[in-house]
Amino acid sequence: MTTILIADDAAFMRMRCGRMLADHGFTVVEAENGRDAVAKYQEHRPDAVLLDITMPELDGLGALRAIRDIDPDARVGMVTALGQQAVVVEALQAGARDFVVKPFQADRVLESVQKLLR
Amino acid sequence: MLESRPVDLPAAGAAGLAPMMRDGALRAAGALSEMSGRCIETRSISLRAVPLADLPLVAGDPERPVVAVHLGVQEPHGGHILLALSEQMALRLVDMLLAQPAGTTTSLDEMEVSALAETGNVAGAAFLTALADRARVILPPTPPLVFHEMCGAILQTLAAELALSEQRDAVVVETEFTCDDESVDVAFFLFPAPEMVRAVASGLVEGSDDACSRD
Repeated sequence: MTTILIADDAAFMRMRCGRMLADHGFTVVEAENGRDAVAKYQEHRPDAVLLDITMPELDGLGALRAIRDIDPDARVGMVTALGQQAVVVEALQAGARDFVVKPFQADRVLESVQKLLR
Repeated sequence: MLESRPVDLPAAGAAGLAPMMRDGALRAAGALSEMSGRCIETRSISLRAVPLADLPLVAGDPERPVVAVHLGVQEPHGGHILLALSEQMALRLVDMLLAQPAGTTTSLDEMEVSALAETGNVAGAAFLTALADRARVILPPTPPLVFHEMCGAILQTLAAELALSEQRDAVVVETEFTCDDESVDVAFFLFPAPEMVRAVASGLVEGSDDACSRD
């Protein structure tokens, strides 16, 4: 079973993405902030991670760096409303493999997961 | 009575600020449309300076209960974004977001509040992206918070925050929206701190210098 970790402080977004991915046969693990995402990554070693950026405790860029420290091969995509050019560049330089700007069509998140798993 | 006046900015910054705010408002409306699945467009956009003491009046009757999503703009620039909805509009928007028949939502529990918070987050971030990319600065927002109380009380709190930076006036960018061509009771406010106004205006001035030097 392919496991996807979704980290977003909005329960609404976790529900929306989680249902869609579960409908496509993925096992979903949820985290509600960056610190929780790093802990869940350690615990579950998911096949791919979707990270929001603007989160309490530890933001998505901090979580991305921490996850890549644990596992340099981690497959992480950013799914965020924060689509400012400088932030996109920073995320890609920190090792994100994809960047999806909210709001998005459901297909775009599926595409991103498939891209991460390739 | 609410006192307001035009914003005093360096000439090049002031000239560039209005189209930038329009772009921000259009992006926020686009984000709201995408999330709600309805045609949401900007009805009006205004930019003015208001004495901090009058800030609680900028959204009309200060005793009107509203549901408001607040985002801060992180330091060093600073500022506040507020998406304010009437209670009825908030319930209607939740039904749109959760793809439910109109009238299904009658109260705001955890999931409903989260849906509204995310809507404010996406609209506010879209607005900030327009400003940040054009002025070539980074304007990251804080995570959204949802308040359900009297409009004037929320604005009074923001006025107190803005007063900490020793400003006497608040710059107010206000956008009103239509939904499927009808006016809706949703207002979007940006209250930039002085440092944010300076950074955005300077970015525009430098951008216009760059454009000249390429010619």
